[in-house]
Amino acid sequence: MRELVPECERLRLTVDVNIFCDANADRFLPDWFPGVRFTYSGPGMRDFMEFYDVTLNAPCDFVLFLDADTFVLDGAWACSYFESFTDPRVAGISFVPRKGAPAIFALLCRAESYRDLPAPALACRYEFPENWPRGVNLQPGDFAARELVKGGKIVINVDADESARHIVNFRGTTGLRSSREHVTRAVGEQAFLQSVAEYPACFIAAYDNVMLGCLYESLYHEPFACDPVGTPLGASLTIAELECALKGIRDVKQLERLDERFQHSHRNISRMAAREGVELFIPSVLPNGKPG
Amino acid sequence: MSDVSILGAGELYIRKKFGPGTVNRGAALFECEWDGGRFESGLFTGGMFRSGQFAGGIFLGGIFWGGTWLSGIWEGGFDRNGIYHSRGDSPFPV
Repeated sequence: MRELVPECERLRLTVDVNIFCDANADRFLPDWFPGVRFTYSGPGMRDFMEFYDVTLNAPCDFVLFLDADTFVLDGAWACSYFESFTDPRVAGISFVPRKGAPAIFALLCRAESYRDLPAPALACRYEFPENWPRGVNLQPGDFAARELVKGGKIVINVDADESARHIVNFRGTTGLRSSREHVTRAVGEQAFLQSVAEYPACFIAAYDNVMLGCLYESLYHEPFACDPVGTPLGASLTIAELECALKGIRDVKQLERLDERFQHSHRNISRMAAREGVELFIPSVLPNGKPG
Repeated sequence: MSDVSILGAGELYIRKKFGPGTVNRGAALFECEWDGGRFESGLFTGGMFRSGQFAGGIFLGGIFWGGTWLSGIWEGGFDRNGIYHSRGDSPFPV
């Protein structure tokens, strides 16, 4: 936001920053977000899926959907893409791809193009459910991108290399925190911790939450992602829980892959810390004691 | 088909299939297929609810293909047409 808003205003755009507080609304302190509007879940906007379409239909020309775990480091670069909209066929710009295709992580939409689609335009879908589990699980925005292209529109897909130079994302961090909340509420903490061991992506999300926590604590001098009793990272995986889960991995190749991925996250958080002028202490979590 | 007939609190099942006669009383089912039986409490996530009764617990991100929705918390998921229904929806009234 700090990067994007001034650059948008330089283009003489009037900007409305709207944060969807899907859960824990009381933790969004207005003093920390000057000039920001908060939208709370409720009737007509019961979850982020409905938020997408309600926001799309608000009176505006463009909407930038930006995930909570995605950070634009270069607002001028992002805003340079507004020029693409001089081509009337351009409906959107996906700044962060998923598996090489446009995604909603950071998606700038020409609102009228998306509004022309059948509602809900941006919600996820499951195609060929009769073939479950081999149906097609379309993520939010996937259906819209496909329909727009079918109709002759263009969704510009910024490639992964270019994206990584200007945007940092810690995908899955919010999802893991939400998952812990739901699973723990339904079946208890032990089942949640067991489930984490079964899904390697959780290790990455947990590590990325550790990274975000390091930066957050350094900037705001308070713990990140606390559980209801105030344990730092207790709403994700605490460092001790993550270490314990990683110790259970016997597959050396899996550990190497995690090490590589953790180092990638380490570099990204270091980029963000350098911009803020702070130094981070990154704890070791892997059994071999490497920084990652 | 699993032999288990009562799934207990805090148990975890991943990619299993459960048939008629199974009762869930607090287990977490990830990417499972539920085909008959009664889901009284626990978590159903990312799976296929083919038939049976959903009488309690949390439904999150799966497909509700058929069966009877009696009660529970719908956190989000798809109907048999693959259409997403948001949190708190009651797309399957008794």
